[in-house]
Amino acid sequence: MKKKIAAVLCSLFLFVACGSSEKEQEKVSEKNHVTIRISQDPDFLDPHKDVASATGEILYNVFEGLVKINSKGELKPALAEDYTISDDGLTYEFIVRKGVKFQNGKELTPESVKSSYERFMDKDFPGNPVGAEIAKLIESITISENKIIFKLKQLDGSALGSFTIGVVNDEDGKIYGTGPYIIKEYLPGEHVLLVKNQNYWNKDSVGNIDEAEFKIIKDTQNAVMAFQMGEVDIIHRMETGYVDMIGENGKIIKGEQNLVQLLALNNDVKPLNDIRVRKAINYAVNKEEVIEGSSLGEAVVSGSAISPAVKNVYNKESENIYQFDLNKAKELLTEAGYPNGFEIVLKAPSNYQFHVDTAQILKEQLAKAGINVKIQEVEWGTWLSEVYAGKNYEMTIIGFDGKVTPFRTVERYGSKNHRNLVNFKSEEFDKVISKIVNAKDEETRTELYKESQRLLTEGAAAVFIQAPNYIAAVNKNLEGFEIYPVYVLDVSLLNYKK
Amino acid sequence: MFLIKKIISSVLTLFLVSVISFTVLNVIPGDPVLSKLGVDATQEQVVALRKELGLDKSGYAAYGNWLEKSLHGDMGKSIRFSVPVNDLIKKRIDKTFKLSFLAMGITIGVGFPLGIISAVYNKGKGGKILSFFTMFGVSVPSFWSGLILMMGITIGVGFPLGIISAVYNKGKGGKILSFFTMFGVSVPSFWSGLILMMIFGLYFKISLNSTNLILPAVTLSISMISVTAIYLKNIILEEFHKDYVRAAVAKGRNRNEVIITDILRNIMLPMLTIISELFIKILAGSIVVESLFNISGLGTLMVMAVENRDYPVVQALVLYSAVIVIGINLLTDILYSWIDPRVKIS
Repeated sequence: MKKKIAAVLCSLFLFVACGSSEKEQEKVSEKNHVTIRISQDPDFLDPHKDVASATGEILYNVFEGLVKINSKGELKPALAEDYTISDDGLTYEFIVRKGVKFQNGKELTPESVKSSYERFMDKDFPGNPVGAEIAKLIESITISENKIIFKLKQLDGSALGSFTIGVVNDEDGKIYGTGPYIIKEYLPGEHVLLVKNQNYWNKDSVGNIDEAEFKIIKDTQNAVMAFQMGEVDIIHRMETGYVDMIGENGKIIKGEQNLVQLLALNNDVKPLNDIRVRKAINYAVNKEEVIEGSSLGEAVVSGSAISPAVKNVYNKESENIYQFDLNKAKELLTEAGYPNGFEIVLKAPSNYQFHVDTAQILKEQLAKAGINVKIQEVEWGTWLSEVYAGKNYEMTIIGFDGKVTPFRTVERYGSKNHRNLVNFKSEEFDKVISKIVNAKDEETRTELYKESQRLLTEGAAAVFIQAPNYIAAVNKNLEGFEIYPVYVLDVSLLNYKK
Repeated sequence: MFLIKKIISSVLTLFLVSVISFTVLNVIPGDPVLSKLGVDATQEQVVALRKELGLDKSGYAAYGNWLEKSLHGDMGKSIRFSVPVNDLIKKRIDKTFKLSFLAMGITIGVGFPLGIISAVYNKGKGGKILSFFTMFGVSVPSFWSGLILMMGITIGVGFPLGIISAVYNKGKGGKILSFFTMFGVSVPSFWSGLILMMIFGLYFKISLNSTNLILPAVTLSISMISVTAIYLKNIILEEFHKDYVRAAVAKGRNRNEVIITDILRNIMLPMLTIISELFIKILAGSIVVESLFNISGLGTLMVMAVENRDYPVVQALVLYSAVIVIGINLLTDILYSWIDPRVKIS
């Protein structure tokens, strides 16, 4: 009996030991393979259609625009060697780079750039917001020698950012980019596999990663365990709670994040249609305490819709508009006719533990002001259709991430914008954001951005709570990982230590 | 005549199944386009995509459209994954079938002998112990037994050296006891060791992804084994009271011999019923087990499709499952008359 047990256990142990050594051998094969965790499937592997931020992160490695954003947030020439903008801001001239090949072997020419733009400018094309914006703006596209010239209908200070949209070559319904990596395979629910583009025009800038696997692991806890087992090399946008579980194989990289978590208040429903009530809620929320509780301190207070990470346009003063003050909150509630508070339902998207945790803390904080919050956890698909699209809610919590241009963040609150989740309506605000579009110089534009943020916060459109830090766990043998101010994971910067 | 009737009713069932699942999908909240595009799309894009996918049509028109295409074998394109539904299913079907056949094999291989043994030793202590375990197996849901199984194996992996040395240290008398005490020792440290175990568990979970389906198959078959064993035991016991058995025993034949030569032959039909039901149950159970072990089969596809309100994928999976169930039932009916010519399929 004794021997039998021992034999069984030994063989079990050996079996496992063999299994793991085989695995390691696979990993140490000649190819430099990096596995990056993503939490969901990409929406479209097409730079003219993708909207999910998490998809853009992958596509950055495959498709390039005339200009390209770098980790400092600056726009640098990419497929354009150089560009000039006319003094009236209406003509953009790009010199198309020579010697660039699409991933199907075709040469990049001004004509191919033009047809790429015409692809998404087609009226029936289900294009993404970046494409839609530039399509609306373009009056005509002309080609002269090696140049492509865009004439715009009207001045738009943030137009250059839209030229980051990927240039593609459409061949038999399949599209090809020019980037440092090629999409080799997409298995729904499993992974997106990228391989190095051997014919990349700027090969010297690319590190030694041959294969990048974006592996879909929904649950962060599972991802962290896979990281511990060495099966995942990078987990980014990780929740703070998992930092301690990373272990010796990894290092933690932290930075500011262009994302704001907000308590959305439906400005159209009673009692939130009264600005005094919304202000009272703003006074009753202690943001520092929320940060301690839901982000374990890894976040900064945000006073407005634009993240403090976007330093040049963030309105720092907006943080002072509401200082945590329970008495003031109660006063305002009494003024509005709710001396004993009221009951309200907060619909929290159940797949985001971060938002659910925040909801719990807010419930306690608001209770002190007499507001009785009932939390209703809603499944994500339902949240999107009922809360986001249907606006059938009183309160909800969500995080909005910033894009290349901060305009995309503020325009959400325009009274006619269908993405105006909180139903904020202010003529003054609408005027300011329409001025942003036509602003001639950077300085005026920045001032207008700050003004728009002030109006949003003063109008108590929502409670802008925090900008959680960007946290990534990275395999300690990997070097070169950089945080971008927008959703980008640049594989070309990565290198395995030699 | 029987076949024609059966086919007509099958077609009718399939039609009803598709109508019901289509209605249910349309009634529950959620929108496939929104689920795909999230919070950043423009209204124009939502509208354009809806148009492209034919989702702007009314319920009837959409169903008619789907029905027409599916009759030609075209199940449409997945909304969430932008690939033809049939390709999606083709890539995953082998894993689900492998898992199901493996689970089926285990269930029959263990459940049938277990049922027979517990019928034979029904009155002794052995029978009671067996029936305790089978009852236990029936009552435990597979998602739980799967977790326990994962952990159980990880205990075997995590502490093997300790346990082995402990076994060798103890005297002869307490061989088994020492094993259990060792087990007991590790239990108080269970919570502190939980993370460790989970890590090993996950190691298994991930490694099992592509290659090894044994653990999930065992999980899937645990409750099925018990059901099979109990059912088989009961029908065998029932046969004991029948005249032909009593006559055989009265003639002085050995009881066990009677079971093998006479009873088993007589219970072929109910056994066939069990097998066909088992297969259907195992296919259904694979949804839970696949999600638990992170196997990329049809079960996980179903879960993802429902989460994303991916109508075409859900529709196709429901329809194919219905076809399989109906097919198995039809096959069982035909086999009935083949095994026992006294049964006429009419």
